[in-house]
Amino acid sequence: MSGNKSNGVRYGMVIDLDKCTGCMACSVACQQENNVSFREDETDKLRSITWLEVFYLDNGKPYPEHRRAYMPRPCLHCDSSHHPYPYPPCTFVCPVNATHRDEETGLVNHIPVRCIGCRYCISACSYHARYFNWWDPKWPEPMEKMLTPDVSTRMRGVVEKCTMCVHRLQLAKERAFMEGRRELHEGEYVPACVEACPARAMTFGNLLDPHSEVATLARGPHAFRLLERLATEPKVYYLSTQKWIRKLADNVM
Amino acid sequence: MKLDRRAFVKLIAGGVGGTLLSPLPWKMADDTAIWSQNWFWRPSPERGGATTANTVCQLCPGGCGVRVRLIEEKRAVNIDGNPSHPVNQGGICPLGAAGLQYLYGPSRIETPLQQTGKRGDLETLKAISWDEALEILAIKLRGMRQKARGLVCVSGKREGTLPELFARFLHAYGSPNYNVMPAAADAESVGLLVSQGNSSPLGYDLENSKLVISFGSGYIEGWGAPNRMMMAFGHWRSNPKRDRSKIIQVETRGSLSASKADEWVAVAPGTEAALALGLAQVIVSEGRYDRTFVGQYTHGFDEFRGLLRRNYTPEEVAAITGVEKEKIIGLAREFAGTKPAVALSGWGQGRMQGSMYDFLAVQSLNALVGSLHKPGGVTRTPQVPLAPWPKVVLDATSLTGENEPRLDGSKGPQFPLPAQLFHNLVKNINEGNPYPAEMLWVYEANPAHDLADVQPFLEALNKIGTLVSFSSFMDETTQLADLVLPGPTYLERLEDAPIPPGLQYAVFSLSQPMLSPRFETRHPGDVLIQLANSLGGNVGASFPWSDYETALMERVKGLADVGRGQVADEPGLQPWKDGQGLQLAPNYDSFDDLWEKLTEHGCWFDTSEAMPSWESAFTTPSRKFEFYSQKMREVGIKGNELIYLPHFKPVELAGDPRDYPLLLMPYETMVITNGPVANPPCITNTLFDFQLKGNDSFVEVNPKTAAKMGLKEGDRVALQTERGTLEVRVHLTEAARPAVVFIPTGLGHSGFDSYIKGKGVNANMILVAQQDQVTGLASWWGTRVKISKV
Repeated sequence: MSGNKSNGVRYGMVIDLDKCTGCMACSVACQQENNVSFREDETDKLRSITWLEVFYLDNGKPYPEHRRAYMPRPCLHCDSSHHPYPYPPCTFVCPVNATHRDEETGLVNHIPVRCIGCRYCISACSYHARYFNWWDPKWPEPMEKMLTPDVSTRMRGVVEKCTMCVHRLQLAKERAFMEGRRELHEGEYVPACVEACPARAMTFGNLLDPHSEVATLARGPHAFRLLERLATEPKVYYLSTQKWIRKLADNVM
Repeated sequence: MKLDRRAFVKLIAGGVGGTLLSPLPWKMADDTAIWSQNWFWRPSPERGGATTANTVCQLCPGGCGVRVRLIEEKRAVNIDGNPSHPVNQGGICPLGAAGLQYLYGPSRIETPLQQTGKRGDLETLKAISWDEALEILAIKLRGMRQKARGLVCVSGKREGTLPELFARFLHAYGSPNYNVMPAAADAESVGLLVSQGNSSPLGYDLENSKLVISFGSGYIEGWGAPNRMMMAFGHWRSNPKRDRSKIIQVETRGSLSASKADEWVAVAPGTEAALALGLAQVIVSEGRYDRTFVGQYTHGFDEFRGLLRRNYTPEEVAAITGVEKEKIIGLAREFAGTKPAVALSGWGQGRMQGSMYDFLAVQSLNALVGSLHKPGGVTRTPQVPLAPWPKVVLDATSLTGENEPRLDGSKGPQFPLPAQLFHNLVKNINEGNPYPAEMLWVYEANPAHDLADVQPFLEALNKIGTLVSFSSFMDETTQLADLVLPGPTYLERLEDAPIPPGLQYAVFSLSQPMLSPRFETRHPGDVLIQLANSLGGNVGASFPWSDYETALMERVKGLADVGRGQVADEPGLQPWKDGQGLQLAPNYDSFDDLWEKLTEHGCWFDTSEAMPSWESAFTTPSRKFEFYSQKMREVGIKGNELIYLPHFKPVELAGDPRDYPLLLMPYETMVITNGPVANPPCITNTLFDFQLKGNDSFVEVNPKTAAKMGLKEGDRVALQTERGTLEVRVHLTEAARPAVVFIPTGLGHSGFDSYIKGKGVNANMILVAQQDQVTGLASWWGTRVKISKV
């Protein structure tokens, strides 16, 4: 864990790739939860928007030693704290402060209405976690009815990305406040993807709480993060007992 | 003051510098961005009070509990898993999570439709009122009552009160021709009938298994109840290392299930059953079988042992399957030495059908190690004690109809075993043999796209007088219909969801309307009741209810009457944990209370029905598990001794290998739906661009095979089988076995909406189904193919 100042809350996620069945429920639940728009052709991956993208990995061995794995990738909410610029790569480059890390939660947010669409953050992000709205979002007429009021729709010309369903955090905080609490219980706030996962491969919680499940798992012997050598300090950890997967995670070929 | 050049430059430079130092340009750039982005056409979701309600997903037979988030009880904005439902415990699959894209999808049908021109012409498919639609249908049905047997029905669902109502209507009307879409369950039920004496579907106690060996089942790719299986997988992987359940996948393709298993055993195409028999041979010859079970509760073990010794020694099985001899012996020892261990059958998602013998080979492995009706093994799905409806009222016509031969020839002299033979039905309709099909009802099924080897079915439609579709969506079958009677979606209607496939305890779930129907749709149950009443006579008398709700409640009363089970109302229920036979104190006190709680929580479950004892489980002539089937002899199946025993017979695939040198095998994945509905946009988004790119779908080819043919990644090729040709692109992957081409099913729709229409090709167009001569069942897992660059 990096030494950012905080009041003891650093939300993070652990994704167990041994348990992940590659069903894509996380990705679909995310799209529903966050009003992510779609177009008639969703196969152009340079143009489509997928906050939680599932990557395909394989061990490169011939049949029948071939093995594949799927790796869900939300925004990793980097916790990098390099002196003297303690910012995630994307927030560091944003010229209009449209994206920044909330030091109370560690979540990296993105405010579409502030975004000027320069896409500097997209090139800065080491994980392809950011997406650009090349067109105005358009839902076929009746489908606008299913848009949730919790998340605004975005517009043409701005960047968007995973927020760890920060609106759920707001809601959980408000509920706790109504009950006279300032602290949230473990599991009171989880993003839609974690809630959806049928194999229970995803765990979410406060990484700074040493007793939380997420912190326990992140300390485990099979835990790793993507491209760790970049020192971006992602708050999304992966677990895998497979060596080839762990190798791929750091691009060590 | 004189403004000289120097002062002027200073002023300008100072002005520029000052402006840049001020926040003004940045503020203005930001404001311009905001202003230029907030156009009125960007949708702004209406706000309002949010509530959640529980219901049950009906998009597949998995029967998962879901929660729907509603705004002002008018708009549904989200679906997630219901943590209190024991089947999925809060998890949800991608299809379930995308449910709202069906509710609000652009391919919904808004009113009843009548084809006024040529079949398939969408321009002449005219909206009519419900009164008109029912009148048209009633007149037709009255007119053909003397030819009542010519009414054929295909249901997309196997279980539940709605399919039962359709079957009931046909029975009362006088037709024996009720069918469901074909699946591996057809072969399984025949296999159970000949080996155990009854066809009650199987329940697997997987959560308690220590070793699972899956013979081609896509156990995390939609086999059984998908969420339950993925949850079980997560559970296996959560156990501490020493106690970890192991899973072995036997499959030709390097699927996700194969990759995620602890071990993948790659077998030659279609030889899973041979491997199972090879394992059985080792277990028997090394004396590793369960002596109590085999000795006391099986029949024909000596014949089976003799057959194994003659034909399935490790050497011979190694030659058939391509699996090393040592591996076969090792697998057999591991399977027999781990308790409890269980073997799974049914390829892919369970839609792909192997033969009855493929099922029997796997099931005899379960029998050998004594895993039948044991914790951690395989048993029968318990019965849900629903109250029966009153008997169907029969008149002279329907009495005649009862005794008519079925159009598909099942239960007939040639094929006495199976309950249905869908591909035979298609063939017989085409031949008008033994009588013509006058009218076809399609209830929430899409055979015009989903049926493997679909072309003969499309031809058969020309022989059918009237095609009536009960679909909610403009699918391929509905486009061809003469009359469309659209139902509300599962989020707008009351319906039961019976036990999900493969579950080991009893569950009864209830979906209820989350919103009032969006369109002029009518509940198919209500439509049938109204139709029966307008026909009157014995048909009307067989439907004595005012509406579907009354009919359903009458059945659910059975649950309250037996006073068993509980309504699932708290998160974290794990009914499989304490095993079967556990009596739960009911948490309801009357039927009204039960109904109210069911409506609120959506699920009743029960663990009190224990697994049957070995003394009582088998209803075969010998009252034992029959390796050697006397039942088959009893029903008059004649042939050599081999046909009464589990054995492996290579399927003769369609096509001359000289013309069609490669093998084409279909595969199923979680992210391409194969059911009556097509992929919604947000699932298509999750497809990789080597599965679908633009409108091109890809087939998987091994790089070595591709190199021999001069094919590169992404090349456009023609796939040609005896049935026809499809144009696809090639994706090179080591997951594909050399000389086999793998094609995904579920793409290539010509119906539905612009988000899925025209994307990829429909594999069913060129697959050729092969008929098994003993059971009459068709299998379509492989077809010979020629691949050429275009």
